[in-house]
Amino acid sequence: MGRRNLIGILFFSIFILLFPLVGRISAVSHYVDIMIFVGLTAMITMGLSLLMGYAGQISLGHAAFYGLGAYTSGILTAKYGINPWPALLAGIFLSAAVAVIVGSPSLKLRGHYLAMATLAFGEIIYIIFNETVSLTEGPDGFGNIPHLSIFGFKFESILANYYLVWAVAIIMLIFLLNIIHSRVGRALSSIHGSEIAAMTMGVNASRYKIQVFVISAAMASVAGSLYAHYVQFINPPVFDLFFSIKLLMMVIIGGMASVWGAIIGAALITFLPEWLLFLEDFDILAYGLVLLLIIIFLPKGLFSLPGILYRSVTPRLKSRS
Amino acid sequence: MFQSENILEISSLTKAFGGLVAIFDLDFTVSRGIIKAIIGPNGAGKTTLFNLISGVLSSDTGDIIFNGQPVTKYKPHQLAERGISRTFQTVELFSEMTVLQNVMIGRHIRTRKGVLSVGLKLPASRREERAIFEKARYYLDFVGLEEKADQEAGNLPLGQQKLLEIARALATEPKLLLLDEPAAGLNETETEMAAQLFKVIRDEGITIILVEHDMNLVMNVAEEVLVLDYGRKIADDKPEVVRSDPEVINAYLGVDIEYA
Amino acid sequence: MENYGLINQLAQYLITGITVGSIYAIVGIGFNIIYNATEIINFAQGEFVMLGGLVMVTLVHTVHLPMPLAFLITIAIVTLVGLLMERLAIFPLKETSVMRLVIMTIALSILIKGLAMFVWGKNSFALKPFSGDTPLSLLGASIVPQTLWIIGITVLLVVLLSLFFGRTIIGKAMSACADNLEAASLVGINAQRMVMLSFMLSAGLGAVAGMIITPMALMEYDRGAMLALKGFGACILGGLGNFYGAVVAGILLGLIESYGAGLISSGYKDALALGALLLVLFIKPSGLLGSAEASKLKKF
Ligand SMILES: Nc1ncnc2c1ncn2[C@@H]1O[C@H](COP(=O)(O)OP(=O)(O)OP(=O)(O)O)[C@@H](O)[C@H]1O
Ligand SMILES: [Mg+2]
Repeated sequence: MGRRNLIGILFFSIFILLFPLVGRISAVSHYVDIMIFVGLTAMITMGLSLLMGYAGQISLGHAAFYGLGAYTSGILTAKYGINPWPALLAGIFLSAAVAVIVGSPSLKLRGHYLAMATLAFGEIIYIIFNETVSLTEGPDGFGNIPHLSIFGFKFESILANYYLVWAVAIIMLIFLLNIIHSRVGRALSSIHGSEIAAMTMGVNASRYKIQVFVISAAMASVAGSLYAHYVQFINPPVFDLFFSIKLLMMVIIGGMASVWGAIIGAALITFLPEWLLFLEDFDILAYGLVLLLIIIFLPKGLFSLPGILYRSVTPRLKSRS
Repeated sequence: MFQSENILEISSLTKAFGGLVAIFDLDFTVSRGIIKAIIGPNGAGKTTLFNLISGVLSSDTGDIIFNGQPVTKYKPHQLAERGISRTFQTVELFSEMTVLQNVMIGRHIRTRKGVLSVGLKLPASRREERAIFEKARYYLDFVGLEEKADQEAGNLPLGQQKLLEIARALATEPKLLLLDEPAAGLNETETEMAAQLFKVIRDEGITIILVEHDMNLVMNVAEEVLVLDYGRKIADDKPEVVRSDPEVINAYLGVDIEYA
Repeated sequence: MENYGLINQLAQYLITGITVGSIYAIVGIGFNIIYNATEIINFAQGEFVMLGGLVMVTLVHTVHLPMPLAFLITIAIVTLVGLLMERLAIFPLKETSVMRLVIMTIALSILIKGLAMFVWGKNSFALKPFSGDTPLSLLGASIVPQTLWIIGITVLLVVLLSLFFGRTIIGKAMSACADNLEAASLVGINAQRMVMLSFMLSAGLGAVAGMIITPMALMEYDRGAMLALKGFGACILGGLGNFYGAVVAGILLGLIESYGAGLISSGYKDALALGALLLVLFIKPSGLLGSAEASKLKKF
């Protein structure tokens, strides 16, 4: 997958490994907890960035797959006493199956039509979470979801969950980078380069679009299951349309055609409300403003920032020597 | 196995854009293993014909038989798989990818590994990736671009971009190669080298259909010449016969021979 | 007697459906006007509606302006917001991807929502109906007069807009712009001015929708997103860019919701409407009245 990505993964893993040290500083000790949500969110945005940046498809329905994972895990474990691991697998299969059923007709749609279709799908699932009270307890949600455990070790503490979530997220990152640097990734990017040439080279775009859609749905589902087992309580608002819109925003703000950007976007948007907390009720105003500024000044997303800084510094260094 | 003598048989092919008939009731065949040139004035329908043969456009009426098999309504990827590949008059490279990656896309149709396999880097998919890489290098070598492998394709000069398109097309291991004005914009030496390259490709057993305005090149390499005018066939014969055909001269020079 | 009651009810649902659908239709038309000029979906469209309602409430109940005057001033103010939005946030981004512009409109909608909260707080506001609230009886259904205002104003808007696009030079220029931006500039239509106008026009439309719905449904700072969603649904279901499509689809969505809530389940009413929308898209990917040919010419 290229040396740069390998080095990136190495440094990023070290960062993740050491990050919990901030927990020692009392003012920011809750950052470890927030980072768990960043990790869960990043699992979804990474898949979305492959879908948007490479397959050129938009989705405003990924909160639904997150929810399908969470509810499948939650219901099977808390209500039917099934072991969390097979429940997690069941969530993946359900999400993947739903993605195939919804994706096959939807991905034939273009642009805004696709946005609307995925949005409608997400909203319908959200309504189902609210209305099938016998199964989901409706708007009240339900608790008593057990923590995950493996070989007798229970993922109970914040720290244990932090490492679990980020281990999964990094595995997903590697998985996606592998795809991007393979015949599949090349095929997907070829479609952006020249659709007509890609066609005559035998690239069957629609097949990969579906595959990527299904994979991103499965990843969102895993994130949902992990969420349910960490928080131990689920209710519908977590999985609503506005979360889908936020996910989309994270991908674009991070830098659309980059899974790294998707992680950065997830981190920024997840931490932003925390940093704007001191503004109290005006946080929403500041939130909008920050987004606006990023869109105006960083057209290629946050991920392009280091490059821009680098380029603005190097000429000066060169002229000095 | 029985192999028909003609690699391509086209009958009563018609394609109109709104009121404009770009190809009208066209019949012709291409025998296996030759270089056949298609010439004709601007707007005669040559590129449209390529678009029909490669499945980019679908015809209004008519039949296309490729390698003994009717392929009239096939999609581009199905045709690529069966062995039709092409280049473009207006270069269509994946300009933000490297030269090598462009050729690697050419291997796409000849490789199989899916999303899960490449994502998990299963041993079989590593082997396949390795093979893609090596084949791609081979075809780059073949057209003489091996030194440019890691450059961005969009940064190459036009002549090399055209060569790269040929390498990419060859990487699909075609039986029939469609070249749309491959020499346009090339200088004399480059054109001469291109002519050599076409002959080598033909000698490897790949049939070539060549759309070209450069008459010297056409007369030099082609075994047969089809002449189109306003989407119709006005001649289809050996180069030397076509060259002296009054109707062809008329179409090309705009001189009305009968009254001249 | 039983039957009579049922028929009454069905009539009631019909009227509710058309009323709600009218609002969706107006919002949908607003989406279309901007889409036609720019190919972007303006997710801040719902904020225009919200602003229309809240500005009107302030002008009528705090400033005590007479209703007709307040109505006009509200339109002017919200139109100005549309203009500012285009000049300050959309225009500077020209030469960019549609996706980035759409995200920009999402950011703008968050910003406008924040501003509205700053000005009006989080409460819901009521607006007095345009002409009292003594119910009338029609087809055996009892309806409040505001319903008639909503339907009447919607009809009026549709007529005026079709005259505008069909008969006036500016209107025709805007449609030409819609068909082909480059060709439009070639024949001397100032495409940028048309984009600006499109934002002003759809802001003004949104304001009207907000003012006529508030007496029936109250208004609060965060209502915009929901309204935008429904309007977006109407505009897609009708076929992007198709003016009459949005009207038909808006009313259709309103009716499905209203009958769905009354006859099936109020919890699933939105799911029914969205399910119908999905079904239509799967069968006809360019919407009810949209043409597949036209949508192929657009990138989005
Ligand atoms: N997609 C299209 N839509 C409408 N008209 C088209 C299309 N493609 C080609 N045409 C028209 O069909 C006719 C044939 O065009 P074509 O490109 O096949 O000619 P050509 O022989 O390749 O010309 P040239 O030598 O200039 O490349 C022209 O009049 C052209 O304008
Ligand atoms: Mg041509």
